[in-house]
Amino acid sequence: MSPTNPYDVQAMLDSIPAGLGKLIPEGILILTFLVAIIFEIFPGRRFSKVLPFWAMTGLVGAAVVQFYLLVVGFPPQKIAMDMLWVDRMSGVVKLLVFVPAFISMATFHQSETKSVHTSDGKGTYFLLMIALAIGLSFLTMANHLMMVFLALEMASLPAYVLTAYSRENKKGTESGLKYVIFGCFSSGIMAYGISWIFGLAGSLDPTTADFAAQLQVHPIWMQGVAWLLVFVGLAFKVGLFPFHFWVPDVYEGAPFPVASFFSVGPKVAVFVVLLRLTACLHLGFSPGLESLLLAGFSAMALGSILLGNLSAMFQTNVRRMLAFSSIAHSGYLMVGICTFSVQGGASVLFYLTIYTLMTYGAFMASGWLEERKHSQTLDDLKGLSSRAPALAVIWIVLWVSLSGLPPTAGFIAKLEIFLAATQSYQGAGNLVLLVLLIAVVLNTVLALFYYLRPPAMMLFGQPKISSPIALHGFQGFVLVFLAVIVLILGIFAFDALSDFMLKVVDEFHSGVRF
Amino acid sequence: MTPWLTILLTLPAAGLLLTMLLPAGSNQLLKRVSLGTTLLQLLVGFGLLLPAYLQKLPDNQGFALHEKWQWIRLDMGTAGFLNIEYHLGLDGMGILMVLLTCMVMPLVVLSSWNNQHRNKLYFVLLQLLNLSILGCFMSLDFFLFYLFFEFMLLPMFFLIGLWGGEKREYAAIKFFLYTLFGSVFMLLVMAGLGFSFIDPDLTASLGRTVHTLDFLHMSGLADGTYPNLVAGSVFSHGYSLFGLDARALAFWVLLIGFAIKLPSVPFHTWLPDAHVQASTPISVILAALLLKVGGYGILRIAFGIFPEAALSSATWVAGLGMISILYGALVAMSQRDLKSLIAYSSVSHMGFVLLGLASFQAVGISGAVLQMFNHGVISSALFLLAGVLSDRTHDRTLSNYRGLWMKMPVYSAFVLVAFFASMGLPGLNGFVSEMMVFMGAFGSTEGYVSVFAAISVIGIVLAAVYYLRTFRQMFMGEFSYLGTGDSGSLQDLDGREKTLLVPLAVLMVLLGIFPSLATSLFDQSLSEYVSNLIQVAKP
Repeated sequence: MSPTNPYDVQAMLDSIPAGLGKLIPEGILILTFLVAIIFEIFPGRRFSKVLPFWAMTGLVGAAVVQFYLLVVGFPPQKIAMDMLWVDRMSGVVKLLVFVPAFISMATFHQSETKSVHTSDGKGTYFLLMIALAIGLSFLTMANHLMMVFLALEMASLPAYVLTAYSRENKKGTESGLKYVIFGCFSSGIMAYGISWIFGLAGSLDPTTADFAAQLQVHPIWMQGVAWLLVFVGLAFKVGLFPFHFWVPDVYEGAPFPVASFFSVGPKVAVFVVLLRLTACLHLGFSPGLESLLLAGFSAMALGSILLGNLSAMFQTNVRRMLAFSSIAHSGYLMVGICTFSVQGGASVLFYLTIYTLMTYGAFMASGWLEERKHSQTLDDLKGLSSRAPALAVIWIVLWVSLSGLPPTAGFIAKLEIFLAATQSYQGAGNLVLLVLLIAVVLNTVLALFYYLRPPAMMLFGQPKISSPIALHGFQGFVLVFLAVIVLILGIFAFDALSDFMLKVVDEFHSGVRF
Repeated sequence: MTPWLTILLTLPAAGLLLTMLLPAGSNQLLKRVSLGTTLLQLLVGFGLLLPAYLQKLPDNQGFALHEKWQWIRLDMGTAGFLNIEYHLGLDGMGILMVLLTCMVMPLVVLSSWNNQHRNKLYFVLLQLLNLSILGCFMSLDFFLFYLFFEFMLLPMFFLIGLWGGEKREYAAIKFFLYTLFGSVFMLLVMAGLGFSFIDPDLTASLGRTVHTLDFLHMSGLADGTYPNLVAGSVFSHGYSLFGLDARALAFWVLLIGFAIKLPSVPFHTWLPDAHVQASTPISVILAALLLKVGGYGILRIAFGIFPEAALSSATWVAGLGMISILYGALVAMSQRDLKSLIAYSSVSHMGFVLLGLASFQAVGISGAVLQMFNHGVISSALFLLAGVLSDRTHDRTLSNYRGLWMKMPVYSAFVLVAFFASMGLPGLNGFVSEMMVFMGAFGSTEGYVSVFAAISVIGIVLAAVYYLRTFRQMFMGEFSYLGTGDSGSLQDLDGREKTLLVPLAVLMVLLGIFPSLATSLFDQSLSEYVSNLIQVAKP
């Protein structure tokens, strides 16, 4: 849908409404957000009661429409003056954002944590979550680097506030502040990188042949520095080594429905940006730049995997442990990115889906316990299997899946990345991939040290109190559902899911060709 | 055609479900249900599966009772498909191991009769383990095998960690990490194999390259070529990784993975810890069944897929075997705990398996397979016997006992038979398999295999030394007990214990006199398998 003459303003303006049909989910969210603001303005009790339901309905509506669009299918398309790229890849990831966001909202609404409720303006939480969802949603579609930056900021600002949401929680405030400072810093770096790129290429749309040709004229180191700055910004947002240090603090300090959403939604969306950029770079740029990036990416991957797993071993707090585990998982995902192939992209998308299921589940399971025991420490898991057998079983399934052992979906996700990397290695013979593979494999063993600890504590230890903890309500249902899905996808039907991801990524790749 | 193997696999699954449905407090009922399902498994194994196996002629590369269902077809983009099948089948080695599993499981349940706490969880885990061990011996698809192989770890981890001795958690985690270390590298080999072999029929019918992990498609022809090997793939001939031959590297990765499980020196250190800490029934499963998965894996997978790499590494494999035999025996001599003595003697006896496999002779490899079966029988008995003592006094220190024969004559007689069988006294089953291993190894022309075999003979002498010395110390002379336990509790075997030990003792004698009872099951199919391996390796 791109206008033939880049300076034809009329054609540009005309092209905008043509693409709006694909943006209905975002439209719904924006409408929800605006109406919710009006609700917030009126001080009446009635409005503050309606607001959560309004926000959740809006999100569900957006998710349903998005699901419909995904099922119906449509040719990938660039819209809004090539700023956005609507394709099924963004569709899949938007669902991975909307659904956890909805569950987090519902959990928050039901949450028994009194400390959160007493702080005034409960409605603000729902507003911020919607804003965050809008930002992430645009991020998944961003094609133009300016759009990437805008969407990232749109998502970051609500995230900063959400982290420090409960005022009584000192840790929350501290981690919120850390998050803001590091976040702004990394945004600045990224903006600087984008300006370099604009200076070098004269445009910010990496999918055009013109962009590639212009950029190629400049020396490799200049291109390298420019892209490095951009990727630093993105690496910060997904918590990749060496830009990971905010992750454990934020995951520990934020209210748990927020932390559990942070561990999945934003990460998933940013990884799609990484996928898009690397695909463009792979298809349109010099091999010199590619090997430079490969070196950087593999260093990040190795660092994240090692640091994540080694640090997680020494944690006594479940949330911090999950935070380091999520850093390690970012590293595994980077291995998929390092393949620069369609297959690798598909394996990353597959991994993201499974990652969302299991990490979100693990966070929720620990949140369920936290609310009832007011503690995040590992010691409090002792003897849980006799107090809460159902929760313990779910917990064990999810943690085994996180560690990547069969017969769980986590194992299949890892296997897909292995297969993609092996295929890539066999094609290009790049030794880096082989080294990465071996590192991942060794780390699986390392990671078992801490992934086994919570299940072992639950089964081996003796509980201090023996009152039973039952699973019930919406959260109970979600937890059971997640554990069952993780088990089923570990044995059956994952080929259908993985084939779908392959189609989706292939569609995207064939759209990028110059 | 009746799907016997699936039926056998559904029995532990049914037992599992039934156990889960029962209330947690009903201890007797839980035990009876588990005993019932494992006895049914024994019955089905010997009464239905075995006749079916004997009647049916092997139809594909010596395997019978095939069950093959389409399971997963992953689209790999430009590389085609990766096809994974639910493919079960048995050859001689497989049926022997499946029967061993069927036999040992009821004994394990019966020996758990005095288990005190958390019976429900215990029997759930036991059935899971049962299921995954059976699955391992039946799978003919690497992916399926790997699922079962890895899945064994978790139930075992909890079984050692929950019902063991004082340092059980340490032992459990050590067991887990050692075995996992071996198997994660195996996963890389599997990923490589996923692009290396094609399924010719499916490739023809689908019109796209269909890769497979089916063992049967990975075997080579007599002229040393592999009809289904994709040219230029990671495991095609001449491909190198880190400057090493990729096939040799993969062979060693697989070998080490399974050698950890076997276990072979120097990868054995998890075993004594696990055995000493685990409770009696868990030790029995560990020694009788889990270790066998290691030997089985080496022959079926490491040797089966990379025969020429195996042949050229025969000296090294035999060397590992020799070191295991001697080192295991020497360390066993200096043990003070009866269970760790038996554990190290296990290391020593599994060394014979490696030696037999390395011989690349039909008789040697048959000996190795028979040794696995025999060791399953003998070590079950030995660990049960050690359990009898620790049940009574909670004390297994050798030097605390004198003259047990006076106090417990029946018990002592069983110990004598098991010790003799284990040290390889003629007339008992251990002798036959060790003899066959040596016959094979002496006949080997590969490298130093025969030299190593000659040195390994010392191991038999050492075994006699530590067993006889232990027997003299604990059972002969006047009775006295020096430990802190209650010496009054040293009563002779009760009915349940006799029920456990009699079948094992009978098997030891029977297979010692009529080894053909076992060998006739696998002789033909195994010698075909081996001669095919040798032909592929040395075209």
